[in-house]
Amino acid sequence: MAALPGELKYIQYEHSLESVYLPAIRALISKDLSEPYSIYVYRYFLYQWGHLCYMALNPSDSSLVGVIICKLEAHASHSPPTMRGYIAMLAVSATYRGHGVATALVKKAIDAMTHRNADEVVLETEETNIPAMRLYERLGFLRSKKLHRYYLNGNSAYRLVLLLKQIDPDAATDLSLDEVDTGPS
Amino acid sequence: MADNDSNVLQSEAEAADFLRSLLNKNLRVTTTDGRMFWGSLKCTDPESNIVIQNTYEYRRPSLQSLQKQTAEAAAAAAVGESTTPTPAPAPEPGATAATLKMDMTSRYLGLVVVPGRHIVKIEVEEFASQMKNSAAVERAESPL
Amino acid sequence: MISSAGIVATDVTRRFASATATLPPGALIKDGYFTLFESVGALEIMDPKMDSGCLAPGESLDEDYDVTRPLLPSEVLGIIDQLLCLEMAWHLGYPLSQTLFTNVYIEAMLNPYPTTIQEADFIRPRSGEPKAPRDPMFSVLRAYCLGLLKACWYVNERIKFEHFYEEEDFVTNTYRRSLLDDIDRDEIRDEIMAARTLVHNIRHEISDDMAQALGFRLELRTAFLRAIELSELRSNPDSLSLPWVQMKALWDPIYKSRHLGTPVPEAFSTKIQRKLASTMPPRPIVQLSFEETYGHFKKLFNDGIDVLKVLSYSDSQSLLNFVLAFQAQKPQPLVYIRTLLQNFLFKDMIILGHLSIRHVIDDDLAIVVMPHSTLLDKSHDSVELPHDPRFAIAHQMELFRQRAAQSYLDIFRALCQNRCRVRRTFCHSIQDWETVQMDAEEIDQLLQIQLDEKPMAYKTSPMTSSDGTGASDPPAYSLPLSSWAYLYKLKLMEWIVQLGFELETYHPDELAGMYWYLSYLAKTRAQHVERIKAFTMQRLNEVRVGTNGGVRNDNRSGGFLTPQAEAQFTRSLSYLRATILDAAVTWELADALSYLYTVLQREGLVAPPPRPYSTDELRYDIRMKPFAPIGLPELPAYESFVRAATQPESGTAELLEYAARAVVGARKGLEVLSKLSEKEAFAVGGYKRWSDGVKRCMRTGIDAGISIERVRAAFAARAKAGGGEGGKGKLALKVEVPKPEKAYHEWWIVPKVEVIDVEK
Repeated sequence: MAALPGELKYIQYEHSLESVYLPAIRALISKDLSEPYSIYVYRYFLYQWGHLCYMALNPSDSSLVGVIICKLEAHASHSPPTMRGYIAMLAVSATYRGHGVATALVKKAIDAMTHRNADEVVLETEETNIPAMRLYERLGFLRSKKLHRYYLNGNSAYRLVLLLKQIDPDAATDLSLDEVDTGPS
Repeated sequence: MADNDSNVLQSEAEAADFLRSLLNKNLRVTTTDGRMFWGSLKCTDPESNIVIQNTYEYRRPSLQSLQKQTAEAAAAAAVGESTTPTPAPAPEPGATAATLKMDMTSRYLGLVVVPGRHIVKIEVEEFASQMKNSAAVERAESPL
Repeated sequence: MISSAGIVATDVTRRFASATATLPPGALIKDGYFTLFESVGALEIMDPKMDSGCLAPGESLDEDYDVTRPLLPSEVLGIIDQLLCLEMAWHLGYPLSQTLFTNVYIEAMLNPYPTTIQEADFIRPRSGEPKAPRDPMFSVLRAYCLGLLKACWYVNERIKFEHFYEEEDFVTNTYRRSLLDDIDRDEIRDEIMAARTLVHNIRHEISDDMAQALGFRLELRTAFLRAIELSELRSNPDSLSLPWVQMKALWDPIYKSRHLGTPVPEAFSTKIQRKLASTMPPRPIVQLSFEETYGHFKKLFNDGIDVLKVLSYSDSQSLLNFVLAFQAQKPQPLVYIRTLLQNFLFKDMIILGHLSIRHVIDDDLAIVVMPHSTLLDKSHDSVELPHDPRFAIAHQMELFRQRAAQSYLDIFRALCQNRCRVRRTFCHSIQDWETVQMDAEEIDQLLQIQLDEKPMAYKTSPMTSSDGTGASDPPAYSLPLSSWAYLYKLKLMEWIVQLGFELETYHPDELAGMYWYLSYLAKTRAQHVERIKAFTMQRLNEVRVGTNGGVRNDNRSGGFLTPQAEAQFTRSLSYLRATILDAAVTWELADALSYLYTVLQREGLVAPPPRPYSTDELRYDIRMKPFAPIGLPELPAYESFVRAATQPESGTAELLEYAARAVVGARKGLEVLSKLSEKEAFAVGGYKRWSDGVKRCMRTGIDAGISIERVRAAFAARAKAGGGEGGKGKLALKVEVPKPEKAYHEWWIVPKVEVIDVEK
């Protein structure tokens, strides 16, 4: 575990940064994944929700140390629809783990989603990924359900939920417990 | 290979119009490894990474299997064997029919992304009868 | 090379590239109907992780393996054993592309598509040529593969036909290959028989041991096909189980003769994936060891024998208990067995092959709420006079059955799913049961008029009443149908909470609250069953003395108890008794654990995470979301939940005392439960599993008792040292919340409490 190279820079993604950072984002994320994503998985999130993507940069050379990619949209199976934030990908370079970079990125993303009126933030994480589960649970996420053999490698997942606002009791009749959510996380 | 368009430099608007005119048309995309992908265009980006739907992969058979094929040609023909392995033969891209039907093996892949950096050739298929109405592909009969 | 059939292909390579180059960063040109979300599932060509067709430099797509090369008997055995491992991996949920379809012999057999048994061969006969004599080892391997693939076809079709979750439970994709769909089972059986004879005839050349080893494996294929064939009959379990018993008997000798085989790794290759129609990225061969495979098959055969027992129907509650306990096994039975169970239960809407849905529902109503009731009298069906109360009763009851049947059967169907799905499905079901209950109440009210029912002053039992006084409520009607529905709703709510423990859904600091809620539900259920029991007792008395109201001229309302009527009442009362016991044990154990976790939390031995982005109340909202829409029992307000989970009014010593007492109560109840016969326990056909469950709960009780005592001792020691209950400092204990699979029972997470030696 390397020491952090000073105070990291946290910046919001924007399309003008694509040529500099998109390849690095892909490389960083695919390193940790059992399931590979095509370039369009990234396009899907960044095209509409680039502002919910945050990057942690090394202050000395501006190289990418960590990244979080999210989306936020009306979740239709609730009535009235809720604004549901979704953390799709989170990765930190192995060299800089253990310094709270991931937590800082998740906080930035939650803050950004809260600012944009999110009612809740959800994600899935592999049941064997204890550090990830601990990270999210320390922030206030709760496991809402388990998803059997959710990943190609046969592992199950937990759906984690962070409620940001009180549920409208009249809307609670629709649980949306079984909707298929966006695949990657 | 001659490209049939003269004005390679396009205005942004023209370029976007041209790309839009190709949406949902069947493309034949050849990659650096010699495979050809046949499917309908759904999306592209500044790097020519393209998304095509209902895609079939076509591959030239290896020398080894060509030799084997020749050796077994008579017998194979007798029992009506096809080199297309699927029980319901994949729709052949029309134009390749005559020369390639016997040789190319195909399989269905569905939705794929072909990265721009691996593309060596893109062809668009159109019905000859409709081509005069098409603004997309400027005329002149195709080469060859 | 261009143009045919009026289609012209035009090269646009350069124009395309120059057009995309003008797009600003991040811009896309996209078909309006195509959502980018769809592209998430797209494979990227030329990425070796995603594109199965992407070849490494110099690599060829062709198999180097020659399927016509001669095979030693030991190699055939080695290949067969590897196929057994892959077959099991497929059963476990991995796709054919990563399992059986990686074998070159199978690929050669299935491609091109074989339409006749002769074509189903890895060495295809040339047409017109006389069949050349072939190596007997080829015949053995071929016969084995034929039997294997046909069995896979049946398994795949069975699973596709039943309710299951594609990819999550099982992958039915065959990548446009056939699994010998068109080839007759009997023809395949003949080939296997011929191969067995062949092996027998050459036993001196290949050695007796080898001949036997190969023979066992061929026999296994025959038996598997036979087991599948027989299961379609849904008849007598004993006769259906014969081939399963045979497989079980063959399995050990097969395992023990595995050393005779020589592995042939080159006969398996992921290259074949490149020829399969697939949207899947290339994935490795799933390599189960033969030891793992052995364990899974052994369980498959045992479960295959066991699942047939469901076919001997005793009563609706035993059926439910059977399904419940059978599916709660760890590990859960394989998907194929689970779909067999579904097939037995529901095929053609004939339950277990010979019972109508009405039969089972009426049986259940008779057990739970209306033994010997005129409401279930079938003779009413033939009454044709619309003004006759019996006509109205038959009509209303039929309306009720139509309303409730789906929800009732869905409980069984849900239980056949994987455990994660069971919980999620139940979260929906309780809302459904809530409306069944409301609709049933309307029908109850119509029926009580027809029956001229008199309300009864019903006294709530002091033990379970909310205020503990057992105060009389105003006179009430029995409302049997809605009572029945309410009982199922309560049971489902308990199961949801309990599956939450089993699936490790709760954080340790939630356990005090969740066990409290479970206890609350179980108490509500006990109260409700007491109410049902009171009305059943009253009706029994009425029947005894002949004052049974309701429909006159009813041969059941005579002034004495016929033996049949008595038997019905006895059965029902025995069910109600067992249910109250079960509810009592549940709430006592839940109370004990709730108090214990409350204490551990107070003492900082189970600590909550910081959670800067959440509040306790918001988390309560998420956790209780499935229960929020339920009107009865109403979800406790957040404030009452917090009080219950933290017990601010009770001292720690007091709480530990409550916990210890609750354990004693639970153990007493379990003691009584454990002595019930299979009939009294409503566990006919699944008694062993049921009583194992009771035993595991008993051990939970002992375990909980030990943990409570350790905390008590440490607490007392600290009080002594520091003076009084408020002694200072942390308790000298180490607490670990075990994973559910490490607990005696997955529903009862007893904290492991270890004493730390402070001297050290």
